[in-house]
Amino acid sequence: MTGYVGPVGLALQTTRTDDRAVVTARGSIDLHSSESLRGCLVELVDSGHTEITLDLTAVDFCDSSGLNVLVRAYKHARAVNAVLTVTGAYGRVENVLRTTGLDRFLIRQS
Amino acid sequence: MTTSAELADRTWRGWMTYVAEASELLAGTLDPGGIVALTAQIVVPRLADWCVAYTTESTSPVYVWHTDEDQSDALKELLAAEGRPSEGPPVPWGNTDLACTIPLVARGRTLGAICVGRAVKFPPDHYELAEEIVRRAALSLDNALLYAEQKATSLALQRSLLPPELPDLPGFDLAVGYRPAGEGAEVGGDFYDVFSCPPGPDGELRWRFAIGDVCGTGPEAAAVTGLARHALRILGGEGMPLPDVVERLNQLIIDEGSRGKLLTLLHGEITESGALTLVCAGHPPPLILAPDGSITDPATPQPLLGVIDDIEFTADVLALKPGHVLFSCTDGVTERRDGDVLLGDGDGLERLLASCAGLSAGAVAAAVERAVDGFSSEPGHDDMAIVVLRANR
Repeated sequence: MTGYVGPVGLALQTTRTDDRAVVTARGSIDLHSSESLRGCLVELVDSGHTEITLDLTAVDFCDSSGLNVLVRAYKHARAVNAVLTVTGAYGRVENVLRTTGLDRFLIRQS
Repeated sequence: MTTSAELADRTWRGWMTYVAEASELLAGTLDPGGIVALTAQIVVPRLADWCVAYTTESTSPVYVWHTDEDQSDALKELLAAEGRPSEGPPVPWGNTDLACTIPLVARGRTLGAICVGRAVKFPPDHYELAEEIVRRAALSLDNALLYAEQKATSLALQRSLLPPELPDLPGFDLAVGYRPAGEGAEVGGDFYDVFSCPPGPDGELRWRFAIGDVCGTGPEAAAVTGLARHALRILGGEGMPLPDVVERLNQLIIDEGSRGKLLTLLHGEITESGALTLVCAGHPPPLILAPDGSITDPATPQPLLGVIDDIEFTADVLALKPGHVLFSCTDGVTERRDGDVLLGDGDGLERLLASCAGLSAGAVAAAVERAVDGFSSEPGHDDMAIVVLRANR
């Protein structure tokens, strides 16, 4: 288990089991913090994890730079047949994912 | 007892502090005129009795600064009669003074000249320090001029991304609001457009409108904004149905590869009889305000553009009834922040709009802009666009 705190207001904690990884984010994903999230997700894809889950239960805000990171990471994963999904989004974050239609791609449809 | 070495050391430290403070002052402004004035005030009275500044374009001084203000006019006359003093170490000039010209040169560009003079005596170290100050002033001035140039370019680019004028929509009341982020040195990613389309098979007049937000700012975002605006106008001009236009634009952005950006877009069409068609691609949902203050959200959320190809977009079709107002904006409105609270939290925008029942389109736009301004004492850092359309009959 590794922990990483971004420069402003976003803490990321990654749990890896074989080819699966769960990233638990805590805080706000914005212009200042989205880069650390991007680095984390890209690294997981590049190190061969094929099932990456981003848990947003403790994230209260995600702006357009955060959406940009999610989309890029989603495409990066898809290009190597890995899957990035998002869980736990609520409130503003759930709202923005629904408004932007990204829920169709990022949230596993049950 | 103080030795002469200690005294020299103290003097040297004094000058070092002076130069350091001067540099800090000069680096602190991006106003070219301010830098010229500041330079003169730094040099006079510490190093010289007077200081005169010229720009490359001007033959007469742009700034004159004299320890004795009463002598400023005499100095100007003298400069006009004698011409500028020569470059290099100070030499006798005029009646009693020693003076010289120090060119303002930065990065190989001559930006102007500074003339300095002292009565009777001009020590060599004072001249060298003046040269040093002018060198730093020239660098600051060059930065300021480059910044002004960039700002002008950004403004021109920004203007080119908005429609030159709005069409007249008989029977409707149209208002737009646009505000760039920051000080205007960077182009924002928000845009809007309203344009007329060829009449449909029924012969009715039609107009299309768009409001969008490209993720990011600067010239790269502006390139995508330009692509979007022109694509919408061209495809709309050919009468292509709204969902097909949005699909086509999505493809165009994806074809840009890594230069493509995410784009949220609300694209709509209104006919003269009030038939309203909307495609909301990842954009904050448009709202309809009824005369009784009730609010509806008429559009189905669909994916934003630039993520994935092969998306089929669908249109929401409804009627904009007389007295009803269609309101659309970018997230610069809903994400306006005061501490941890956003304007859009808890249906904040809906509540704000409900209080605008009965207002004209322009008054609704103005009320929302005022609410954004008043939401926090902090200046907003995001750009914002607003398009309001009211059916009058």
